[in-house]
Order: sequence, then C-alpha cells, then structure tokens
Amino acid sequence: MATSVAHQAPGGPAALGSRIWSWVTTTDHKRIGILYGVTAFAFFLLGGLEALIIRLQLASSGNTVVSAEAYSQLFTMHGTTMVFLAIMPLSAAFFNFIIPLQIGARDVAFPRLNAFSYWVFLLGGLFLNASFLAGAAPNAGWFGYANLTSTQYSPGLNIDFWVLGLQVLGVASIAAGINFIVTIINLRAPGMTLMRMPVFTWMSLVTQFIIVTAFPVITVALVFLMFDRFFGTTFYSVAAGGDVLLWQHLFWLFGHPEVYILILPAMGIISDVIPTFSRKPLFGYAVVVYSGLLIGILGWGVWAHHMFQVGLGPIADSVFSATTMLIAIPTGVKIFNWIATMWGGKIKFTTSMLFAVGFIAMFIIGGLSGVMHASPPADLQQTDTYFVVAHFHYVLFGGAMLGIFAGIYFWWPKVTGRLLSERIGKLHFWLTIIGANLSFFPMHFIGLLGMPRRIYTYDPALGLDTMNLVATIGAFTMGLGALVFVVNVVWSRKRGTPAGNDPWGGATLEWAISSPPPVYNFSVIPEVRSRLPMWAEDGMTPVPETPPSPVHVPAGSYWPALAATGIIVMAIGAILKTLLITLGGVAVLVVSIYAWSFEPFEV
Amino acid sequence: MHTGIVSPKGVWWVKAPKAERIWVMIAFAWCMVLFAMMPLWHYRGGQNPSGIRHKVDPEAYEARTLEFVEQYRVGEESGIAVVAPPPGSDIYMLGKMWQWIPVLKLQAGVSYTLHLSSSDVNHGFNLFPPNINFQVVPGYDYALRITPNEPGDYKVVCNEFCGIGHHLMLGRIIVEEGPVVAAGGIQ
Repeated sequence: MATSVAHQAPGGPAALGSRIWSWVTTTDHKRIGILYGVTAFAFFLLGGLEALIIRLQLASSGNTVVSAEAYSQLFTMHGTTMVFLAIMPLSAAFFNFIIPLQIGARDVAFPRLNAFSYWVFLLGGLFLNASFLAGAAPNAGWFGYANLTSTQYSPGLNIDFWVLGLQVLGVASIAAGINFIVTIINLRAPGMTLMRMPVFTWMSLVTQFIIVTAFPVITVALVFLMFDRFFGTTFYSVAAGGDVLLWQHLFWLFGHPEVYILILPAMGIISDVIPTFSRKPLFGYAVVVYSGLLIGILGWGVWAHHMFQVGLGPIADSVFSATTMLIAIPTGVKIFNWIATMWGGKIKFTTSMLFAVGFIAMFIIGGLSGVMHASPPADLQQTDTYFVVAHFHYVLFGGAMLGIFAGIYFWWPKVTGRLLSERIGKLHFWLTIIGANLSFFPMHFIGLLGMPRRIYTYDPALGLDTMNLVATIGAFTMGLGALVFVVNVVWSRKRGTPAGNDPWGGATLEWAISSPPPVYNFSVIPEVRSRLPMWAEDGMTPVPETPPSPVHVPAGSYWPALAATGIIVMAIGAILKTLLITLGGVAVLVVSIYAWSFEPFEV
Repeated sequence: MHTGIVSPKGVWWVKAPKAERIWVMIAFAWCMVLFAMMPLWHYRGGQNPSGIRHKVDPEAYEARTLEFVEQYRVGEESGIAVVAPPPGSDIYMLGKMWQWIPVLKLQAGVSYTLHLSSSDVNHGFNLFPPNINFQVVPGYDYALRITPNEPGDYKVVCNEFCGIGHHLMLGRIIVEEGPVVAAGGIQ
C-alpha cells in the first residue's frame, strides 16, 4: 500500500481476513469516517430501542412493562448512548470523511491518532454496554448527580461502568479534537483562507475547540467521583464536609458546552446543504461564522441555567439568565441567515434539503422552549418536568439528528459512489418528522401539567394517559422511519444511481473529485481562489483525473488499535477490581505508544 | 503557510451589500431590546425566587426538623406527622429517601419561611398542581419566603431522580382558609 492508486481486491476466503485486517489497521480518514458512521448508527439504533421500551412503559399509567430498576437503567443508557455514542460519533464520521476533502487535504494531520480515536470510541462504547450483560447498567441518569452516585447510595457496579466508560470515551474525543484543530489550521489548500472555508469545516473547528476545553472538565468531575468510589475520598460526601453541588457545577460546566458540541456540526452541515439546493450562496457567511464562534465562547458562561432551582440566589440567577438570553441571539441569527439563503433561490427539495428545512423548523420550536427556560421564574415551572424533555428532544433529535440525516443524504453519493433513493428517502423523512412532532410536542403539555422526569410510572388520576400514548405512537413512528432508512441503505448498495463527481452541483472542493474519492483524495492539490470554488468563475485550479506522478499513501498501522485495547483493558481491570489486569493494560498502552512513536514511515 | 503564493486580498473592509447591512442593523436593534428586557424582568417583574441556599449539616437539619415537628404536631397520616405552624414562622420540610417530612398545614394569605433540605441525596420539591420546582440538596438549607394564597390540598412530588423509590415519593401541603388548628387541637 506504500505507493498506490487502485486497490485490487482478490477473491477467495483468505481475502476476507486481509480485508478485515486492512480495516483494523487503516489510517485513511475516509475509512475511519465510515467506521465511525456505521458504529455510531448501530448505537443510535440501540439507543432508539431503549427509547421505545421507555415509551412502551409510559404509554399508560400504572404500566408494568419493565421494573423501576430496569427503567432507571434504560433512561440512563438512552441518554448516555444518544449523546456520547450516537450524535457525537455521527458528527465525527462527517469530520473524518468530509473535512480533509473540503479543505483540499490528503488526510488529517495525525492519521494514526485518528484511527486511535475510533478504536477507543468503539471499545468504550462496547464497555459501557457490556454493563447490561453484567446486569448492572448505569442507573443514575445520564447526568449522574452526586451523591446518588456515591458508593453509599449506589453500591453496585452500575456507576463504576459509567465513570470508567465515560473517561475512556473522553480520551477518544480529546484526541480527535486535537487532530482536527491541527488539520484545519495547517493543512488547508493554498488560497483557502479561514474565511473561504466551507461553513461545515468552520463549525467543526469551533466544535473541536469546545471539545478540547470541555472534556477535561467532566474528566475532573469523573475523576473525583472515581476516587470517591474506589479510594474513599470525600469530594462529594456531605458528611465529611464535601459538596454535592460541586458535581453539578462541574458537570454542567462541561454539559452546556457539550450541547453546543452536539448541535454545531449539524448547523454546519445544513449551512452547506441549503445553499446547494437553493442555488444561492449562504446569506451572510461572515455573520454565520462569527455566530458560531460566539456560541462557542458564550457557551461557557451559561452553565448554571441548569441549576436555577438549586438556590443560587437572585444575583446568580439573573446573571445566568442574561447570558442565556444573550446566547440565543447568535443562534437565532443563523436561522434568519438560512431562511434568507433560501429566499429568492431556486429551491430543489431533495431528501437532504427536506431534512435541512425540517431542522430549521424543529430547531425553532426547540429554541423557543429553550429561551423560555432562560428565565428563572419560568424555568421553575418547567424544570425537572417533561417540558424540558420536550425542549431538548426538539433541539437534539429535531435539530442535530435531522441535520445529520441531511448530511447523510447529501454526502452519501460522495462516500459510496451511489445515490440513496429519493422515494424511500422522502418516506423516511416524513415518518421521522411526523413521529418526532407526535412524540415530543405533547411533552410540553405533559410537563406543564405536572409529570416529572425520570419516573417509571404515573398516576391515572393525572389524566395524562392519552398524551403519553400519543407520544409513544410518535416514538414508534420514528422507529419505523429509522427502519425505512436502513432499507434505503441496503437498496442503494445495489440499485442506487451511480453518482458522478458532483450529483448535486455543489460549491465546495469535495465535489471536484470522484465518488468515492481516490485514496489520495486530490491528484493535485488545487489552489483555491473563492469561497465557492466549484461555482465561481476561476474559483479554483482544476484537479486532473490521474496524478502526474504516483502519490505516496501511508501504510496502515495496528498500533492505534492495540493502544486502544490497552486503555480498555485498564478499565476492565478497574471494573473487576483486579490491579494486575489494569497494570497489564498500562503495559500494552505504553508499549504501543512507544512502538507507534518509532514506527518507520516507509513500509 | 504553504508556498510562496501571495495571500489573497482581504475583504472584510469592503462594504457589505445593502440587504446584509440592513439585516445586521435589525439584528443589532433586536439584541438591544432583548437585552434591556432582562433587567426589566428582574426589577419590574420581581420574579426571581427570593431565597438563597445556606450550608447546613444534614444531621443538624434533621434534628431541627424533628424538633419543629414535635412542637407543632397536630396529628399523623400514614406514619408521617401533620404539623400546623404559626403564621410568619420558619417552617421545615425534609426530603428523605423516599418521603417528605412532615405534612404541612398552612393558612392562606399568610407568609412563612419554608426551609428545604435533604438528609441523603438530591431530591426535587415540585408543588403540584401549581408546578413550582426547587432542588432539595443535602448539605444545603434552601430558605424560601412563601405565601400560599389559594386554599387546597397540594402534593409535593419528588422530581429529582433519587433511586428506586423516586416515583413513590409524595408529600402533602394543606392550605386552609382561616387560622389552622394549633398543637393540641383536633386534626
């Protein structure tokens, strides 16, 4: 693979082993992107299954589909899975595949670190879900408030799995964050200034900075909790003078930037999709970019709006209310810019565009309820009720997931060389958006009528049976939509229309090369002279079919996967409370890092 | 950073098109309006909760609550004391896995200072049906000046996940017209 242009795949059973090995050792950003996408989508389906069971249980009052203990595990794992194992890695799939193409690079800055991030994510996700097999899935909510998570009140392995799993996943995110920051800053094609980058790349850059700064905060919170649970420290122990609110501050100091990590990539995706299908450049590109930057910065100043009911006092409440209102402004500005982009454009409602427009509509609804939370007196009515559940599902499912689906339908031809079916795609879209609204809109009312969060059953006297049933029907409709998408994927493999370089008439560099791209991406790195290189007159220098001389592509490496294995063995040793296993994991990690560092470049 | 290629001309000082300038001005004006509303809400609306939490030792708080219960006890219901405190006084409620102690009997139209704390984990005080929510945190006493103005039988629902009995954690606050019966009288 040292100098390559085409991959020859010989037939026969031996080839399967070497094909699998080529994926295990890959350092190609495109393959890593596919790995992230497939794995994350599998976790998305798992999280969705957890949601369906939750909704079955809540479909009527006094239901007994699952026990209270099982329910606690289900809602905890649903939240944890969707946030850390579905949305973030789905976004990472796009970062991996698309960013180097959009900036005109051959790969990311650190290809082996990139592979390492993926393997750590996969193993961390498997570790977290292995807790189900141990009958001890995390059960204290995705936010794991202290001191419920102390050994006193959660004596089993559940929280241990959670604490260790999340720290492992954090390693993957931080490594990827560093990788993409360096990639975007250093590896842009000549002429591609920062203000000529596609908005998806811009939003991803902001997201990576947030990741690199926010994940250490939750790591601190988790380390304190881990030390309390494993070594008897008293960070969160009230009796010893510790403070339960320390956890809440640390968690939400991470947690709020985290939600911007979840939404900014999707906003970036639709900022590329909407101009393409409106045949118009993005309205107010600079303002959209500055808004993204502002959101990234201001996002650090709003965390205590998750704590309005804790008794911070009127001064703190007012300050955080002000900052939360402030951050609604750049967020809202983007919405107007997207709409202004469509205004006067020649709009083509492909499935991707439907999802992008759906994003705008759903995000407005979710954003409005979010702005309502920004006022402490209003929030006192809404907090810890289903009103909040409605809000964040509108922005996370209606927002982030719809944006991600828009990206999937947009870039699928680039990744696979075939289009997804538009007919099946439209069915997928309508099932999804109708299901989402059926499911989450009633939750606004259910919440204000007094149904608290995180209860496994409720009183028939509340009169909320019908609305809960409607919400359950909506959830199953979304599930059906997801299945339709899977059908579309399978259909596209064999029957999808082969896509050329540029099926949509896109504006950015990824559409200048073949679908799927050659392993080296660009035969010649183009010089970029415009924000819209494919649309502008003299926007870029041409990219020839074949490279003038053979392109050297790095060989794969197994050290990233092995290093990732070392890390997960450390976690396994901790769960089994067996120091020897943890030390074994450390040894594997250290050896792997050493060998990785001294691996010769030419193989 | 890459080659000898000359950096392209910058553009940020070039005047933006008219539509964009109008939009930026509208957006800016809108921002200023929204921003002004915030101090307005606080001062004209007077709508932030008055209390601030104070650190407290959980065992001391539990003892104080039990003392308060004994002082104003008027009866018992399902094993939980019913308490009728005098108007204007400091009243105490304790969240404990998985019950609220005590049941409060209050007089409509009168102010009290309600203290909230927990002896074990975080609980959530949700007054149902008005839907007012506060966190009840061990190690902190959250004191709130309250004035019940509608008589009724209110539930206190725990809405902060606190373990296996979370969904069963229900308390009660009874608000009556006229003076509530003091300790020693009939329930």
